[in-house]
Amino acid sequence: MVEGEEVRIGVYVCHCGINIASVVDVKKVVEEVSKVPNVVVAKDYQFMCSQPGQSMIVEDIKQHNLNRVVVAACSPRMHEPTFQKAVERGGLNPYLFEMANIREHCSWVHEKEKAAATDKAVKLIKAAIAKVRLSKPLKVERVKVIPRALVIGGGIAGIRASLDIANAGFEVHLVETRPSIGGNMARLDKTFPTLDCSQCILTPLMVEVSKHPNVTLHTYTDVVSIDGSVGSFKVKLLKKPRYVDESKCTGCGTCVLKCPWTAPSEFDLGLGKRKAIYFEFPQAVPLIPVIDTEHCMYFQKGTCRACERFCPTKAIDFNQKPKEVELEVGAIILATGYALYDVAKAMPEYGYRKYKDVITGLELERLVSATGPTKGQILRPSDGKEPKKVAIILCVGSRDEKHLRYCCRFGCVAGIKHAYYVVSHIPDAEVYVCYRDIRTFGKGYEEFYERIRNYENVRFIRGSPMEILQDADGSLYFDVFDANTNRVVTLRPDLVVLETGVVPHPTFKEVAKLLKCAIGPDGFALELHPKLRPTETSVDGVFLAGAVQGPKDIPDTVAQAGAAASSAIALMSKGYVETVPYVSSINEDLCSGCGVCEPLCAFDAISLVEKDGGKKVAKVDVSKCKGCGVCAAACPSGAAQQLGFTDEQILAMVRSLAR
Amino acid sequence: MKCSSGCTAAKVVDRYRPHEIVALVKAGYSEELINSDVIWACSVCLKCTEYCPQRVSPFEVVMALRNEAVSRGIAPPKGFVEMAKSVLRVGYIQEPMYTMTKDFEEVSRKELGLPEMPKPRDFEKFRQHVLLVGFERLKEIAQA
Ligand SMILES: Cc1cc2nc3c(=O)[nH]c(=O)nc-3n(C[C@H](O)[C@H](O)[C@H](O)COP(=O)(O)OP(=O)(O)OC[C@H]3O[C@@H](n4cnc5c(N)ncnc54)[C@H](O)[C@@H]3O)c2cc1C
Ligand code: SF4
Ligand code: SF4
Repeated sequence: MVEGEEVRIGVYVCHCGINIASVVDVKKVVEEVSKVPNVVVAKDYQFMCSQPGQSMIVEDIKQHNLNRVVVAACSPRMHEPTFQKAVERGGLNPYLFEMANIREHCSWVHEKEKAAATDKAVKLIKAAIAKVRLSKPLKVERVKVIPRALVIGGGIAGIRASLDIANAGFEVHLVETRPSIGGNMARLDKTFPTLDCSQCILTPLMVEVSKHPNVTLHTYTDVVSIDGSVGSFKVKLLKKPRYVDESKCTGCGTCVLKCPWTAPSEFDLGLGKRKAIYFEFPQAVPLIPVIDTEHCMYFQKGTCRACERFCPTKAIDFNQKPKEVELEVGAIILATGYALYDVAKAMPEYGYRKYKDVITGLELERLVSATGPTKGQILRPSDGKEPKKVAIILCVGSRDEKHLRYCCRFGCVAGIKHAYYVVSHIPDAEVYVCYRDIRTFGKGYEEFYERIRNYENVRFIRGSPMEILQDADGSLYFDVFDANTNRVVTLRPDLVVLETGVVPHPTFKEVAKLLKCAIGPDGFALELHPKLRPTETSVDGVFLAGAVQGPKDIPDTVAQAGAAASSAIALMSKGYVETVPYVSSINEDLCSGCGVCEPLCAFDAISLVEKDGGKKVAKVDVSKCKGCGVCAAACPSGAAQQLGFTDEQILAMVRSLAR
Repeated sequence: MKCSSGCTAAKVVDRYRPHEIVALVKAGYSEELINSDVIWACSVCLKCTEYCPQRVSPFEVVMALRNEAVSRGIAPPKGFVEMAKSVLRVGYIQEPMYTMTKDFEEVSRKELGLPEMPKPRDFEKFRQHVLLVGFERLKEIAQA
């Protein structure tokens, strides 16, 4: 439309079947709004969003020479894009359009007051007309998407997502903070419900991802900063020094063998020991050791250097420094996974870390694993003896108002699996599983439960103990009320396994801060919509995979990783993103350069720049601006205006409503 | 049902299950409970309040039931009244007595080299405070 041209508005009132029309008198509304100046046509129709409804708008624009359109129907969140496209097909700029919500804001909430609802509908539409009259055409920019993705977290989620993206032909950078990829799944011995060996199904994928020509692996690396936005994120990584030259190391392990110093193994959760120079676990990918400077005698006392002396390829490099890596990527997948709830600190009544024979489920996985500290035997930590009576306690910290309110989603089935571990390793052992509810929702889980339930020496007790105590002779005991028998029973187990609740990985908060993506009330990443957009985040171009979004078993993790990868692939293969034009715009003549707006912008989109002649003015980086409107509200000179929502437009709506 | 797992009273009184009291009240059986001896079993250790994963406090429910019983003049079990009387008399629900060794030998605190049990310094003041809580009412009901 041309500046100064006569404003010609078409208004369309939707019945929404009977959703609107049974409450709002649509005929009367049409009659009222057609009296408003500049309204050239006003019509009602049963379903404006239908094909005929949309065509009506397109035809009218041409026939009546309309240059503004208002649709009064449902929420713009539902159908604004639908009608904008129709308006565009009619030959108008899609931003010369306004929606009045007379369903959610009117008919649905005033069901019993028909006359008042009709009145309100008229008012809402008149306000929309007042606004659209002042609308200006806005331009959608296309921003190029860099065809390269960053995946943060190298657990099964990150590995699966990386492989999917790489197989689609895009470049992937996979970042893992630990020396090896694999995550928590690498710690498991078997996986429920089929009991396949965890390493056997995971390590081939670890190797595949490390060898894939499209994947660059950054292990022992942290993300230190992320700038930019969808399509072009600028990322800085910090590679921690391993003190081993990766290009020379062949992974022979001589250094590890020769190193005389030990420390508790992180991978074995402190149950076993590792050397000061160590592989995270035998199947580590990459198979390159790392020196833990805290326990290395050379770093602590200046002597030893055994590894250096014996390394056949001269790969040890005590002078290695942290290395910065800079990347530009178009999409990011968050896959930082989970950590166990700190029950030692939060629930001292269970005696974890106080009594040696109280362990977590994940620790039991390490005991049962052939590569674990006991070479696959279940031996209790206190005296290395085989336990004959094992108690497994579910929901430790989970579903608890004083601890974690949510369900951990794998504790029940993990506990059932752990009962199987015990009876398959120690056939004459007795196992007691103390549960509150058994939740076996996954495919094959109930059948697995039934199988284990039928073991004679596995007893399920419906109840959880309040505390675990120690007798004078050092043995453990606890009372538990069993709802099935209405008895309080006293158990004296040799080993207690706690199926602890799970929390987000401790670094997740930091990463979320770098990305400015939303965190849910439970501390996990918040998805854009719990049902319809479970892999997207509040930040465009950032997707979620696995336990970072909430506790998840492996099948769900892998499914979500695939979904996150396909979202990233869709974004990159399209090649561009369209920016939302509702950004802030600064009128430089009005801007006094006071700088009030700069610190208020949560997206770092505003900065003060010097103009020719030395005058300072605010400048908006539209690629970062999310159109939140904070600067426009704060600007004392009215220089900052949010396009599509200018002060003039808002005031026109207020004036119309107040009339 | 963590409460019933750890409840001090449930360990000695089979009929007493704090989770059951809460469930019965929720299901509308308060009348039955108010007229029952079972609500007097609680030993007020507050473990249930401390560890309940749902922030329910069975202890408080039990206390409400007891208060209702007393306000209606329903007498608590004899043993409970005896305990109340003992508190008014000596400051404890039971006077410190001897204990039994593994060999069934009776030994007193003194013989074990333990100090005397401390008593309220101003006993009359202590009595007045206890009476304020409503112990007098308990006695009245019991006598009636
Ligand atoms: C005791 C126990 C038994 C289980 N048994 C089973 C089973 O039998 N079957 C089943 O289906 N599921 C099981 N699970 C669940 C299973 O562990 C998870 O489904 C799975 O590990 C989730 O994978 P993930 O990749 O999302 O997270 P994780 O495995 O936690 O991986 C996350 C990775 O990200 C890395 N990371 C974190 N933060 C950063 C950062 N800032 N930068 C770089 N890297 C980072 C971590 O180091 C880690 O490698 C079990 C869980 C437990 C606790
Ligand atoms: S650092 Fe040397 S000794 Fe150690 S694994 Fe690598 S090549 Fe072998
Ligand atoms: S306060 Fe009463 S009900 Fe609660 S645990 Fe103690 S004795 Fe049991």
